[in-house]
Amino acid sequence: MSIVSVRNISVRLGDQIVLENVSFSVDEPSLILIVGPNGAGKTTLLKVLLGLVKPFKGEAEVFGLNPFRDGEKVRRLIGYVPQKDKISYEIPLTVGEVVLMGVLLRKRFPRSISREDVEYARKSLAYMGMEDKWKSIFSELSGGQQRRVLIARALSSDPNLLLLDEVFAGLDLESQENLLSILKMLKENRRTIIIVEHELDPVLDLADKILVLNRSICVYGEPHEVLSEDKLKPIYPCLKTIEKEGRQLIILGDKHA
Amino acid sequence: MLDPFILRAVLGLLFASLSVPISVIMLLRGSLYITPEISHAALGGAALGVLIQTFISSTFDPFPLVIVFCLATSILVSYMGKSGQQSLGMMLSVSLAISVTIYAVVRSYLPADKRVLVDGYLISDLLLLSEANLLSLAVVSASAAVATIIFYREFIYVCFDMETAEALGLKAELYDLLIFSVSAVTVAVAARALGVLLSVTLLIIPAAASRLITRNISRMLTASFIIAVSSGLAGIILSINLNIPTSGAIALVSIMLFTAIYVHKALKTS
Repeated sequence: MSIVSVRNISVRLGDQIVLENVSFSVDEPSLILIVGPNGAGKTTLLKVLLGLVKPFKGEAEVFGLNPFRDGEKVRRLIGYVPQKDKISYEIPLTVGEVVLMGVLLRKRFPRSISREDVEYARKSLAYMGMEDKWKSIFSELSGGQQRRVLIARALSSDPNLLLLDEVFAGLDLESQENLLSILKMLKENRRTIIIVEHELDPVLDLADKILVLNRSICVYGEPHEVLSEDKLKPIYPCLKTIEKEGRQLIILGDKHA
Repeated sequence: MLDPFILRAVLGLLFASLSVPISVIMLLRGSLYITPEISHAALGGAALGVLIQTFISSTFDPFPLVIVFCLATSILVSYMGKSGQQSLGMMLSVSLAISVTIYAVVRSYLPADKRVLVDGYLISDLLLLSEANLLSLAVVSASAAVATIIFYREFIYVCFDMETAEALGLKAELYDLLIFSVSAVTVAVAARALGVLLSVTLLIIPAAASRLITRNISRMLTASFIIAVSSGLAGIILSINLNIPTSGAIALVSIMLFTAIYVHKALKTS
C-alpha cells in the first residue's frame, strides 16, 4: 500500500483549473520536496491530501484511504504546518496552548484536556528541543522557534505523514540549520515528509525525491534525475546555477509574491 | 428601596455586559472594526419593526427584526470578507447606506409617538428600559455568553489558524460564522440598551481595554465583563448625581477608564 497515491487529479478553484492530471505516489517513508512557481498548485496539492479541496477528476489516497470519504481517519495520520501568513500572530496564545491545539482538535467536542493530552503535547515540544518554552507567548518567539512549535503541534498526534508548507520561508541561516536537523531526525524515525518550498535550497540535501509542479507535474524523481537545466529551464526561465562551497547550487529564481 | 428605573438600568447593564466577551473574540479575530457598521443595521430593523407595529400589528416587538438586520449584515460582511478587503469595504458601506436609508425613509411615515421608539435605537437610555426589554436583553445576552464559553476553544482556534483547524477536522467556517452571528446579536442587544451611537462604547472599549490589561485570553474575557459592568455602574451613579443622560455618562466613564489604562500601560513600558 502506498503512503500517498495521487492518480490523474484535476482541481478547479473558482473558474480556474489549478491542478491538471497530476499523478504521483510515495511508496516508502521518505522526504519529498515539491517546488514550483507561484500559482503552480503546490499548496492546493497538499490541501487535496488533507481532504480540504476536492478534485473534480481523479483520485487521491493517503495510506489507502480517501481523504474525503475517510476524512477523520486520514486526519489522524497527517500532521500539517501551514504557510506562516495563515497564522494570526496577534493572538496571545502560549506555546503550550498552540501545541495542545494539535491534540484537542482531533478530539470530539467538548475537547476536554486530559493529563495524557498535556503529556503528548509536552513530549512533542521536547522533541523540538523547546520544552522550556511551554509557557512562553507564541507570538514573542523568533520565526524559527515559531516554526518548530508548529511542527511540534503537527507531531503531537504522532502522525505518519507530515505536510509542511513553506516552513523555511523567511528564516535566518541558524533557524534553517535547526529546522534541517529536525527534518533529518524525523526522516531517521521513518516519517514521510512532503514539503512545499519555493527554492530547492536548503532542503535539497535531505530530499529523496523532488516533484516540480506547474499546474501539472513537470518532473518527478530522485534529485539527480530532476536537477538539470534542460528540465528546469522551461519552468524557471530565470534559473541560475551558482557555485557554493565547492558544489553546484541551482537557484530557481521564483520568490513568493 | 432602589428606584425601579435605576434597578432596571442596573439589571440592563448587567445583562448587556454579558455580551461583551464575544467582542473580545471579534477583537482577536481582527474584525472588531465592523461592529459600528453592524450596529447601524439595527436602525433599519428598528424602523421596519416599528412600521409593522404601527400599521399591521400593535403587539409586534421590533427587537427580533433588529436582530435579523444585524445578523444579515454580519453574515454578509463575513462572507464578503473572504473575497478580500475591497469587497469587504464595499459591503460595509452598502449595508450602512441601506440601513440608514430605511431608517430615514420609514421614520418619515411614522406618527410622532412612534418616531420616538425608532429614535430610541439611535440614542437610548438605560433608565427607560421596560420589563419586556429587560427580558429580551437577559435571554439574548445570556445565550451569547453561554455560546462564548461553550465554543471558547473552537473560536480561538479559528481566530488563530483557521486553515489548520479545518485540516484537523474542525468545521472552521461554521464556527467563524457563529462568531459573527453571536457578535451581531450582541450588537443588537447593546443598541437596544444604549442606542446605536453609544452601543459601540459598551462593546468595543471594554474588549480593547481588556487586551491592554492581560495577555491571557480567558482573563481578557472576564476582564472585559468586569470593565463593562464597573464603568456602567460608575456611569449610572454619575448620571444620577450630575443629572446627565445615563448612556452618555457610561460612554464617558468607559472612555476615561480606557484612557487611564492606556496611559498607565504606556508609562509602564516606556
